[in-house]
Amino acid sequence: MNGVHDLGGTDGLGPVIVEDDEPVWHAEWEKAAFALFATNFRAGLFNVDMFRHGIEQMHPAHYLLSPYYEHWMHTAEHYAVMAGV
Amino acid sequence: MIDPAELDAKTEYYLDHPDEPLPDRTDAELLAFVDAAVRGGAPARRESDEAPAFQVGDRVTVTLDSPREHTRKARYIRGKTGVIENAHGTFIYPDSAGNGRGDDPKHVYTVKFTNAELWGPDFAEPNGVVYFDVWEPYLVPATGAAA
Repeated sequence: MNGVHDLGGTDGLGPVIVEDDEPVWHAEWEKAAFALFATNFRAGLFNVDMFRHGIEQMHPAHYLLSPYYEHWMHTAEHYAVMAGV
Repeated sequence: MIDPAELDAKTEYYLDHPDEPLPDRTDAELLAFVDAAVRGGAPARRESDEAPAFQVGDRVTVTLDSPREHTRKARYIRGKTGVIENAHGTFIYPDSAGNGRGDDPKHVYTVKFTNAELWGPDFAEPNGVVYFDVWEPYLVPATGAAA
């Protein structure tokens, strides 16, 4: 799928920001988002490659502007709604 | 069961009530699974009887096409030629599994591309290389010369 997620070679995005003493979580909700992968994988909603593909189907502008774990929430919701959970 | 409208309603609710506690559930077996998966990961190696089509040292070209579904064939390597640096054995094929069609294990190789091949000699940082892991169906034997 030719989408904005395929960023290799893209110019103009600015420097990669490296945080000093980067925390594991940047917000409380990220913990819940993190738990969605393993639990819904076990429930059979997706495999890891499908999980990635769900992220690729986000709106491209939103994909680029949203934090990492919001991508996880999007794909978990995508497959949960599809499965009628 | 939850449908998209309910999901939107719940999202609105939590946006309006950010301090509301999340639903809580206790499931010791599920917790043990998550602990193991987070710590140990989930290996993608799968056995296959298929013989490898390429070996270390072969010159290969990445096919220049645009799959509409999930693929790990990044656009910046499509149509580019490199040399196989390492052969890893067989792994889950994302172009199958990611599209809901099962593991379909394929051989995985590390291909070495020169910067000049990827970005053109006028623009590439000189003397650099990029190593990229690819699944066998992405590759054909190289015909022309690589940069």
